[in-house]
Amino acid sequence: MAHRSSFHILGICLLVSGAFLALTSHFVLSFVPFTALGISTIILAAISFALARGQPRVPPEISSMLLEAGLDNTAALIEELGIGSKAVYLPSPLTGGSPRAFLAVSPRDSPRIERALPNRLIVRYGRRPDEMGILVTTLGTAAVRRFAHLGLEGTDIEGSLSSVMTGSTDLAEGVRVVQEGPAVNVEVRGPKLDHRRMKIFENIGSPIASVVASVVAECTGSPVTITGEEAGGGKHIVRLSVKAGTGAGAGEKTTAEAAEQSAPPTQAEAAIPPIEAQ
Amino acid sequence: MRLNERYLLSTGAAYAITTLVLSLFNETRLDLYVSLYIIEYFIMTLLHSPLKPKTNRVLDLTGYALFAVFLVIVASRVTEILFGFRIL
Repeated sequence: MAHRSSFHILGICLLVSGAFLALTSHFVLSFVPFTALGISTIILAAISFALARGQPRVPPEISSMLLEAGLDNTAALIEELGIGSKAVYLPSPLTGGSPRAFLAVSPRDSPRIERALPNRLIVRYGRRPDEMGILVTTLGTAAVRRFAHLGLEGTDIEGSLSSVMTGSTDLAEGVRVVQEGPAVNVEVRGPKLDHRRMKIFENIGSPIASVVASVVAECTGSPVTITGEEAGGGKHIVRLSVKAGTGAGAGEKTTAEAAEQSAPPTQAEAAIPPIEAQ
Repeated sequence: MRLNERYLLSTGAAYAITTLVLSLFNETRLDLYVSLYIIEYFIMTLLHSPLKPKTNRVLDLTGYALFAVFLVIVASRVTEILFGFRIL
């Protein structure tokens, strides 16, 4: 027998009692308020059935275990490669698929990613030997993938975050976004994701921050880094930095970096195969 | 309280208050009750949007059905005013 959620059982109860009340009061009692009450109960039953359709099929405990297992694997990979840099959340145009988190092998402040990276685990983003990193799938990737059909790129950040976090995933009760230039502060009200503190959060951020960063990256079409997080008082504040002007693939350039890039490649650099663009 | 539960409870509360208030005014027109329920349904659904896509699909179907009922009620009232007879 298929598993029935509490909303489904509630829907059946409301439907039966509503139909009984409406029919009895209309044909036997001839009392309009009770008939109306019966009809309203039938409408509530329809809402209950609708809500039952959206209930998760996998128990939340199993989902939590799967999340922890995935994070443990990513943490082991990052630790084994000795990566200490912070993740840059890339939008789908720069990853050739879903938005993913990029972790540079060398601890550069802001790796310059100018074109779409290959859809692989280990990728090169430049010509120098140390310009390599890993592209990992995060919780945000999965969350954004669900909304891929809506096309988040170029949409309102707050609206998109609300859709993803309060609607589809039910991760939070509400979201508020304050944007000041490249800095985006997101206040997540009533986060519902319980997890133990892991060392990997220093690299890729907490699961909530990961979802926020992925959605913001997808909306702006630009790489995003998590600059800070605060949790407490029923709120989770995520501070992000959007690399403005990189949406079309142009990276953030300092003068030194630009000069370095314009210099002709050395013999060793020339031997490195070019980036596999998609 | 989660969004789903809040949606169901607030809709239920709205229906209960509507029924109570109208019955206190000795209102006996069933179509008035139903029309208000339908309007409240759409308002509550909008206030609690976005819900999960699967939920939205069923709610959309319910909305179509309720809107059809609402049109029948309106048509009934219009025919009563124009031609002096009611459909319902």
